[in-house]
Formats: sequence, structure tokens, C-alpha cells
Amino acid sequence: MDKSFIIDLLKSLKFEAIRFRVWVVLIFIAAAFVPLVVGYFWPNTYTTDAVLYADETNIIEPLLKGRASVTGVDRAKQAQEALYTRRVLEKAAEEAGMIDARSPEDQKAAAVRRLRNGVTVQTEGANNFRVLYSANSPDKAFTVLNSVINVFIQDTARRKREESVGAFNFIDAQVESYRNQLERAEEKLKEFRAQNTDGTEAQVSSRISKLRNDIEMLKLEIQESESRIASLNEQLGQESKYQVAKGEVERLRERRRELRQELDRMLRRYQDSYPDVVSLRQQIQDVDEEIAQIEFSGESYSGDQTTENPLYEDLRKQLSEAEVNLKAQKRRMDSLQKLLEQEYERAERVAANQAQLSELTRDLEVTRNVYNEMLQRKESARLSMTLDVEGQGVNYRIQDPPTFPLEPSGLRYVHFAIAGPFLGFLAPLGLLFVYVFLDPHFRSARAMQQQLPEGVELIGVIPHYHTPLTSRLLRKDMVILVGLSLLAMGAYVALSIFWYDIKN
Amino acid sequence: MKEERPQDPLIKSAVSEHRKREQIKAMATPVIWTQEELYEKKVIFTGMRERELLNAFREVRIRILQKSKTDNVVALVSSLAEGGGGTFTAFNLAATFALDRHKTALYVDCNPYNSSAEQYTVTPIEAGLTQYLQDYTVPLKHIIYPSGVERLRVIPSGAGSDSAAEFFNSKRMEVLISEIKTRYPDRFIVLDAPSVQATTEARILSQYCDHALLVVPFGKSTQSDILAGIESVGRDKFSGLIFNH
Repeated sequence: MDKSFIIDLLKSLKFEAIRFRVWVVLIFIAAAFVPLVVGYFWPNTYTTDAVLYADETNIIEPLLKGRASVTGVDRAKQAQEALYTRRVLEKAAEEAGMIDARSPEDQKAAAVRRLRNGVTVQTEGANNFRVLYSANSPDKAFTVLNSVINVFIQDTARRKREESVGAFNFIDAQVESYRNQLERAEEKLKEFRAQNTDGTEAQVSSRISKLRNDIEMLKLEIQESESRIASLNEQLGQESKYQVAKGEVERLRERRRELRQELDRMLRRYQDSYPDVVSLRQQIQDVDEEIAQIEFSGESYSGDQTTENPLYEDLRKQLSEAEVNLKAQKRRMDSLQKLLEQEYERAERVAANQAQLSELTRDLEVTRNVYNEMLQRKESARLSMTLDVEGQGVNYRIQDPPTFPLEPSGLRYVHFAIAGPFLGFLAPLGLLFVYVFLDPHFRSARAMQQQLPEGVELIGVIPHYHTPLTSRLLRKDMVILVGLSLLAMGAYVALSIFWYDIKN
Repeated sequence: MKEERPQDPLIKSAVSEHRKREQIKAMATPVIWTQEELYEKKVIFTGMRERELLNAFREVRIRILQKSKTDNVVALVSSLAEGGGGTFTAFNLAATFALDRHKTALYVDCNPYNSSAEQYTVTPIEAGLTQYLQDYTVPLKHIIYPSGVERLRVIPSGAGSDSAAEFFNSKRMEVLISEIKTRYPDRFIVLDAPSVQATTEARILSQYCDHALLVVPFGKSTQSDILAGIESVGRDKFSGLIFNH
């Protein structure tokens, strides 16, 4: 689109406008009057609006923070969705008197569709939203919007209550089912415990270690007893069963010693020849002979003079005691070993059961946790339900009630009346433009030259021949057409004012 | 105009020049149109208010002379569409050549169906081109009429005939063209043919001309129309387009 192209286009437009001048003026007049007529029959629309406030905060909320969740049907978006539901709109239509309960279904559907098209919701800020409704009469706009808003607020409150009760019932049912589950788990655990009395692994292992300790101790004791028996046996071997008769020799040697001592005392006062000394000497000799005799015979015991050896007896007694002891210890050892074996077997059984037990326990734990949580939730839900039932919690409040519309809104007769001449002016211009633009016939030498193949020469461009006569005729035409247009505009203004008065 | 010099060719040319002037002076014009009449008939003249128009025709004249070897030129003018100003362009082109005091022009109206030659002649028409071609007894000078423009003569088409195409194709037409061409030196002949779109005359007449010019009327022809028009007059005879507003 360069400059010369635009100039060519404007020139072509001018030529065509002059060529079709009568048509241009006729189209201008027609296009100007059509909007006026349309505007005359255009119905007035009346719009009314109301501002609703989605009240999220309330007095109780801070008091119950974290304890009860306030049911959240909030914000303008949700409000819009809720407002457009068939339930709300149908009820609103009923309340506004557009339909009644006995109306046929298709009539109801049509009313709902009309309302859905007519009602618009605009968000204003975070929590405010504006509801608008347009109708042909101010009365209708006012009543319909009123009933729509009333029904909407009632419906939201009712729905919220239903929601809370539903939630409570749901959680209640859940709690019940978890309680049953918990009971079943407990029952299972009990049964298992009753069937498996082996005790825990810890018990078994402590028992085993105790038994092992006992066995160690017993082993030491047995060793001790055995060594004791061995030493007793050795001693017993050295002692003879009976006491030896060496008493005679000893007595004789005693006698000889006494005699000797007598002799020595005598010799200090007496001579050897002293009779007592001689006799003493004799006696000593006799004793010596007797000793030699005894020693020679080798018989230390003399006949029935043998007696039991007391030490031997004592040793024997000790030995038998030790043997009895050892025997008892060994028996105890056996029984301890047997017990240990049993404990080992028990440990195996306990280990096998442990897996099952821990599974059962885990089930129980999980179920119990959930059950406890559910109990808490149930209480929260009960509080929420109470809140909603008593009308606390989230609510919609009417911030700015609908007003009775006094002035029509939207496109009005005046707008059409004003737009008419502009449209009239633009219509022929637009048509000409479209004609010039789409028509493939050449209107400019330059465009023609650009489109023709190489070698086709343009040797001249002849301008239009304006003779004085044609200029005069053209001028006359122009004056007539402009006058006609002015006349038409005058009629237009008069008609539009006349109709304006009729309409108002 | 030319200086007298002793060289032979120059003297010769000066002599012929003088003779020419005498001949042209002899072309008596009974009536000269007034400015009002010229305006009414949409004919150009020196001193007219639309200088651009005059200059445009002069430009065309220059371009045609540049393309020609001799001064005697036969140009065919045909419009691409009916009512496209072919006659207007043809007659004014002839008038443009006639502006030159040393040149004459002849406008031959070869449009027997829709003749417009009456408005260009100043004496009543008795016979035209078709009569001349039909009737061998009609002499040439009877069909040449003066126009209201100096040095510009007109051959009207004569009475309407259905078989114009056949007449134009005849030997007599060929003779006629060569005769009027050689009758005067520096004569410019314009054949005004009907539009190429509607009839076949332009195609036939193009064989007699040196230059075939096509008038492109404003807003009436498309590219394919122009190409078809060029084909019908023959690419070798075609000399250029004239865009007419």
C-alpha cells in the first residue's frame, strides 16, 4: 500500500461516486432512514443490578480455629456457577411468576433459558459480585432480579446445611466401619495369643541363657566332685583297714627308757655293784631281748588285739558321700541339657510366630490410629454441622439491593437516531469501496501497467474531457442531489423528533 | 523554416516543403468551429483550458511518430469495450496531428453500425465509406468531407451495412487506403474501428494500418480483455494502449 496506490484508489472512488451519483444519494437516504425505523421499533431494555457479598468470616471461626472447618461454598465464581443452575433459576422463575408448578416442561425450560441469558454475574473485588438482569419493562427486571437473588441465597444456605449433614453422616459411617475393623483386629490378635503360649523371644532367650549358666556351674561342680573322689581314693589306699600291733614294742621301748632313766639316776649315787643297779641292768637286758624277739617274729599285732582304723572309716564315709553327690550332679546335668533342647525348639516356634504376630499387631495399630483420627473428625464435623444449621459459617449477604430501574439501558431509540446519518454516509462509501476494490476492471493506468506482461506498452493516458457544458450539467446535478440530501436530512430530523415524542 | 543552402538535397526538400504548404493551403475549409462548438463536440484545440488533455494527446502523437519510419502513418484506434471512447480518442488523435500546420489528418470512420461522423462534418453527408466500397462509380473525393478543424478531413462510414466486414476485406478497401495515404505527404490517417470485444472489424482493418492502438476505458476492461484485444489486432501491428478516463 504505497502512496500512489492510495491516490489511485481515491481517484477511482471519486470517479465512481460521480458516475453513480444518483445511486449514492439514494443509498445514503435509505441507509439513514433504516436505522431510524429500526430504532423506533426497538424495545427498550431496563437493567437492574444488585451487589452480593460472599461473607467468609464470622464470629465463631476464630474461636474454633483448627477444630471445625467451615464449609466453603465461596467466591463469586462459585456463586455464578450456583446461580446458573437449573434448580435456582427454575425456582426463581416460579417465584417471579413467569411459570408455576403446573407449567409444562418445555415452558419451564424456556423460562430457565431466558433467565440464564438475561442474568449476568460480574466479579467485583475478592468477595463482592454484581448480578445484573435486563428485561423489557422495569417492573419485570426488578421482580425477576429480586426473586433470583432471594432464591439463590436461600438455596445456598440450604445446600450448605445439607452438605454439612451429609459430611457428618459420612464420617459417622466411616467411624462405625473402622470400629468394626478394629474390633476384628483385636479379636484376631487375642485368638493368636491364646493359641501360641510360647511367650516372647526375649523370654525364651533369657531362659536359655539362664539354663546355660546353670549348666556351666554344674560342670564346674562335677569337676570338683570328681577330683575330690580321686584324692579320697588315693588317701584311702595309703591307710590300712586295721590299726597295727606295734603297741607292744612301743610299750617295751617305753619301759626300757624308763628303766634306763632309773639306772642313770641310780648310777649317780650307787656303784655298779649295787644290787639295784645290777637288777636294773638285768631288767634292761630282758626288755631288749623281748624287743628283739618281737622284732624278729615280725608280728606287730598280737593276736586278737587288732582294731578298726578310725581314719580309714572316716575317709570311706567321705568318699561315698562324694560319689553320691557326683551321681546327683550328673543327673541334674542331664535334665538341664534336656530343658535347653526344649528351649531351643521353643525359640524356633516363637520366631515362626513372630512374623504373624507383628502383622496382626500392625493391623491393629493402623486401624486404631485411623479410628482415633476419625473420632476427632467426627467431632469436628458435628461442630461444622451445628454451625451451618444455626446459620453461621459462609454466607451471602446482599450488599446493595436491586433498585427499580427508571431509565432504559443499552441501545435506545436515540442511539439509532444519531447513528442513522453516519450509517447513511458510510453505506454508499463502503459499497463503492468494495466495488472498486473487488472489481477486476482497470481504473488506474499505473495498476494496469503493473499487471500487464512485459512488452505491452502504454503510450498515453487521456484525462477526462470536462467541457463547460458537462461541467455545468454536473454542477446542476450536484446541486440537485445535495439539495435532495439536505431535504432528506431535514425530514429525518423532523421524523426522529416526532417519533421521540411518541415514544416518551 | 529551413535555411537556403547551396546543397542539392536541401534545396530539394525546401522546394517540396513549399509545394506541400501550397497544397495544404488549397485544402479549403468552409467552416471553422468556434470554441463552444469544439467543447460541445469534445474536440481538442490549442488554447483550451484542459491543457493536460492536450498534452496527453500530444504525448501519444510523439510516441506514434517515434515508432514510425515515414510521415504518412495509418493508425487504427479501437476501444476495448463498447462505449469506451474509441471515436473520441480517434478523432482527437487526428486533430492533434492536424494541429501541426504542415500536416494534415484524415479521420476514417470504419464503424458502420454506430456511426458518429455526422457530428464531425460541417457539410451534409451524401455518401460514405460503405457506398464507396459497394459502388465503383462513387469517386473518392465524394466521400471526403471537411471537418470544423483545420487540416482535418473526415470519411464517414455511410449507411449501415450488415456485410461491412466483407467490404473491409476487399481489394477496393486496400486501394482506398493506399490512395488516401499517398494523396498528400505528411498525412496522418486514423481508422476508427468498432470495439474489438464486440466485432471482428478491428481484426480485419488491422491489416491496413501501421499502428494499432487500443483504448482502455476507465473501469471497463480487465487484464484478460486487454490481452485478448492485443491478440485480435495482431501482436506485430499492436503499438500500445491508451488509457482513457
